[in-house]
Formats: sequence, structure tokens, C-alpha cells
Amino acid sequence: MKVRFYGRLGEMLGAEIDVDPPAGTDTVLKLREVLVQTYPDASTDLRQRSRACIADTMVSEDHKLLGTETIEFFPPLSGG
Amino acid sequence: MQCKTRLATERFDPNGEYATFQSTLVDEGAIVTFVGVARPQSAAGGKVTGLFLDHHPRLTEASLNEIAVDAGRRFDVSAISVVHRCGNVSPGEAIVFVATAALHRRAAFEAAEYAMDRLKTEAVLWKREDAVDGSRWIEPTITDQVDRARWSK
Repeated sequence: MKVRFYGRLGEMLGAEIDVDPPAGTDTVLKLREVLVQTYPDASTDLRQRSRACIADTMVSEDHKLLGTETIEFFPPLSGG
Repeated sequence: MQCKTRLATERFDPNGEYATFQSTLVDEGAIVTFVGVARPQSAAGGKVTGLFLDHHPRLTEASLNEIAVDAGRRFDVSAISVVHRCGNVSPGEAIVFVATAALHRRAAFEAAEYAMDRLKTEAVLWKREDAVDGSRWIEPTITDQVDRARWSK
């Protein structure tokens, strides 16, 4: 599974990483916890300060993961 | 309604954008423009060396277009143009350009203000300010959120 990060998260963790989550990681929420285990320094941003996006659509925490998709995490936006 | 948006990867000239925008108009009596410029000082007073605007390969441009279309539909404007920078921006350079045109001034003012309030909080961009005293990722302020929320009424 590919995971992409933007903004502060991209700077901390890299723009794109490959993740092979353990069996049972079948929701966005569970994937966040897997990422937090790997990147504890980014736990606040991963858990509370980012939204998940799949196929250019924002998804909820209980969105079911197939394991083959690319998931992106968006920190708070800031344009203008 | 004529709507044009562009994500600019390089420095752009707001005067040139205005000239292009103005050249497409026919019988409008009001044109409003806004240019957001990279400030030379951070909120803490440190000298800013530059901004970096991270963007999404598809959703950033889509968000600019959605905001511009919404602004055009919500207010009685005949034309709107939005140009937004991404990448590295130096102090003094334009970050964002918004132009609106309408028969009368009120619609043009409101559409430009609405577009900017949404761009600050909803454009798919992430802005980092690099200053001599450090770098920080900028997030919408309470004022930005309040400004955005007033259009929900």
C-alpha cells in the first residue's frame, strides 16, 4: 500500500512511503495506528491533525481498506 | 459566467493577469482585484527568506476551480479569475490573484472577498514560511475561520 503525505507530514515522513500493514488493518483508523507505531514523533499529526483521502475523495475513519489502494493524508490546508 | 483558474508554478505578474482579464470583458461596470503578496517578515518579526507551497497533483487545481465557480454562481458576476502560486515563493512575490467583474460593484467586491476567504481555508495547498529564526507550517487562523464561516449564514 502506498501512503502519501503533504505539508508538514510530507516534510516529517517523506512524500510517499510503501507500507505493508499487518493483517486486520482494514480501516483508515487502524492504518493511522500502524503509522503511529512506526512514526511516533508524528503521532499528533497522524491521529488528530490530518484528513485521509483515497482516489481524490476524502474518506472517513471507518472507510474500509482493500490493501491495494493509495491513501493520502492531508494536514490542515493553508492557501491564499 | 466566465471562469478561469490557474496554478502557477513560476512567478507571475498580477498586472499582466489583470490586463488579460480586463481584455475579455464587454459591458461590466465594476472590476475588483486582489493580490496576496509574500510578506518579508514573519508574525514573530523574523526576516522571511521565502515561502514554500506544497500542492496536490490534481486536487489543488480542482479546489481553485471549485471555489471560483462557487463565487461566480453565488454572486452576480460575469467573470472571475484566480491564479495561485505553488512551489517556492520569494518575499514580495504575488501568491494569489483574484479578479471579479460585474455590472455593479457590490457583487464584484463580495465575490472577490468570498473567493479569498475560501482560498485561505479550503484551497488544497500547504504553506511553509521559512524565516531566519526557523520554518513553520502555516495554518488558517481563527480570523480566517471566522471569515470563512460568515459565508455559511
